[in-house]
Amino acid sequence: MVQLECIVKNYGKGSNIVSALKGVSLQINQGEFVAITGPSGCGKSTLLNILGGMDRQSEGTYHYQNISVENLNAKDLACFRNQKIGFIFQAYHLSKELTVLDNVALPLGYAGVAGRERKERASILLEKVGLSDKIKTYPTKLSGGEMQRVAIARALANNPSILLADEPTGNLDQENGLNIMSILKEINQEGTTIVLVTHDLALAKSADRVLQMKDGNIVT
Amino acid sequence: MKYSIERIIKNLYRNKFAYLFILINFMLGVGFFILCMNYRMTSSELLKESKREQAGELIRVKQWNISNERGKSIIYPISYDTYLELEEDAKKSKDIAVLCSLEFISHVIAFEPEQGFTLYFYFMNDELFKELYGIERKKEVVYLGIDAYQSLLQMNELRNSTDKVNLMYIGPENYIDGDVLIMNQEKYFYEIIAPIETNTIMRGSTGDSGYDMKEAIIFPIESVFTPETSIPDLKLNLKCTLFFRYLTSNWKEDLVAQQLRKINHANKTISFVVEDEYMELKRVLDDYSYDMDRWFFVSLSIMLLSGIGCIGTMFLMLEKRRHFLAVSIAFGSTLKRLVIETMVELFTILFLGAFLGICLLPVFKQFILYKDELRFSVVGVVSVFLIALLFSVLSVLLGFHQIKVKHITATLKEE
Repeated sequence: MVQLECIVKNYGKGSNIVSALKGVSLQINQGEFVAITGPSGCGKSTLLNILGGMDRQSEGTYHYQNISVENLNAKDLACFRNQKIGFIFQAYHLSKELTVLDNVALPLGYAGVAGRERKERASILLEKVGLSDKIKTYPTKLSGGEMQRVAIARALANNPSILLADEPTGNLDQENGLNIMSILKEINQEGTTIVLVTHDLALAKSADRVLQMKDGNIVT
Repeated sequence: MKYSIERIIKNLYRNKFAYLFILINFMLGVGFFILCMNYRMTSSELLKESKREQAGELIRVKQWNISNERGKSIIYPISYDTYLELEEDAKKSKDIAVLCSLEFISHVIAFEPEQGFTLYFYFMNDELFKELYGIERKKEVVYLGIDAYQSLLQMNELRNSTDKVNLMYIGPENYIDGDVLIMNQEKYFYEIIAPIETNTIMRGSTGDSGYDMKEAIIFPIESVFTPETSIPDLKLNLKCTLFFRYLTSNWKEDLVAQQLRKINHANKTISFVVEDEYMELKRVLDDYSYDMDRWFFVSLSIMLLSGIGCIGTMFLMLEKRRHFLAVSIAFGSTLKRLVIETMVELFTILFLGAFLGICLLPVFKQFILYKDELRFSVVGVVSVFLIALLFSVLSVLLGFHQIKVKHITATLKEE
């Protein structure tokens, strides 16, 4: 499903080049739950950003199903992010100006889903994460766990085949963290591929496969 | 598209205070801009009327006409419209015309009366030039220097001794004061006439022998043509005109004065003087124009301030929306789409501001306008909306450049 070959990501220019990824090759199969662990600065988030089309690699090839992602133009890449990828961030990244419902409906709007259908689908997703009573609430009124559940609902909006979660439990207490993990497991069992970046080895163990990163490379 | 419109409407509502500030800013900007432009337009017309009334026939040129009046000065008026035409003409061309009539083709070119000198002008075809001087004419105009006149006479005498066509001329013995006229040979010569009264005048300074200024220039026969002029004051019975390039940058003279010199030449006079009192009038009128132009710069400054206000507010607003824009990009929008949406938002507000500004004009007009005259030109209104468009594009592009939202990952990592 996902095929990365010799991915290099450099930042800076000339003598100030810093390599965040140094030739990462990786294959992820449909329906897999992959956890990526490693110390801070080892390139986990960079790898996730490249997987999600939010960043482009400096070298190497990235194939998603039969799409050569590095060859997509800005518009197609935006469409790729919208249709194929679901993002979950550690800091949730919900818009404070939008209601919970509008936040979840945001990717649907960019997908061209009409207003009523958009709201219906967003409501169903919020119900799935147990927040159907909060649809008109603004994110500032929610707890951390609730915000992350809204973020999961938003990530699932366009029914993506892969969900990329960058430290989704990093800002949560243990109870909320476990709750989020159980939601992710449930989503995975429904057939969605999940790539989880985490520091927490205990959480990583709940994945099908654990990849250990160090200095811009996958070591195990 | 639908979603974009929905977002634009929601964004307009969410940022209502900032947009209200922009709207009021642009509304007042447009209002005062149009009022100042109106003031300038109406005062421009009033100025012209006033100048016509004041100047009318009052601008007079004093000429020292040596050819017709033998040194007597002539003062004659030119209308203000002629003055304007001359001024316009002077902007278009820096050529000073030396006008000739068939009856009289000799000239004195006098940039200043005391610098007067004589030149002989000959119009000759290449064939005759080569025959007389034995060389090819390589340039269109040939300056022959001192004594050219005498040498031409000698050469012509030699020529007449052959069986070639005789170039008729009236020599010194047949005509007043040694003037030469070769005529009826238009194939070769158009005319050759030496100075008449000019030499009489010059003789005063050079003694009785007085023919020592005999430089000559030969022009191609094609240089002869009938002049055309639309200026009523210059409707003279002219048969040919010769244009000299007059280097204004060196002389640094008033353009109008140069054009008056044109009239001077047309009348075969040696100099002119614009009386001091009329120069003063010109200065007063020009100062008035300057005052009027200030309003133009005031109106531009108002729009500039309005633009700065608009750009500044957009900077703040986009900075505030930076996170949301980054999230939008992460979930499927493109930078281009966001830029266009924001431009439409801003343009809607500026368009509304321009519209309200125009609607409010009658309220302000009594404070600025002459005689409360409010005029709308299509060009003026269209230009206001073009300015609105320009501000929208400029503000949004600069704003997006400022917040660097295209680095999505960096923006999202900041929180």
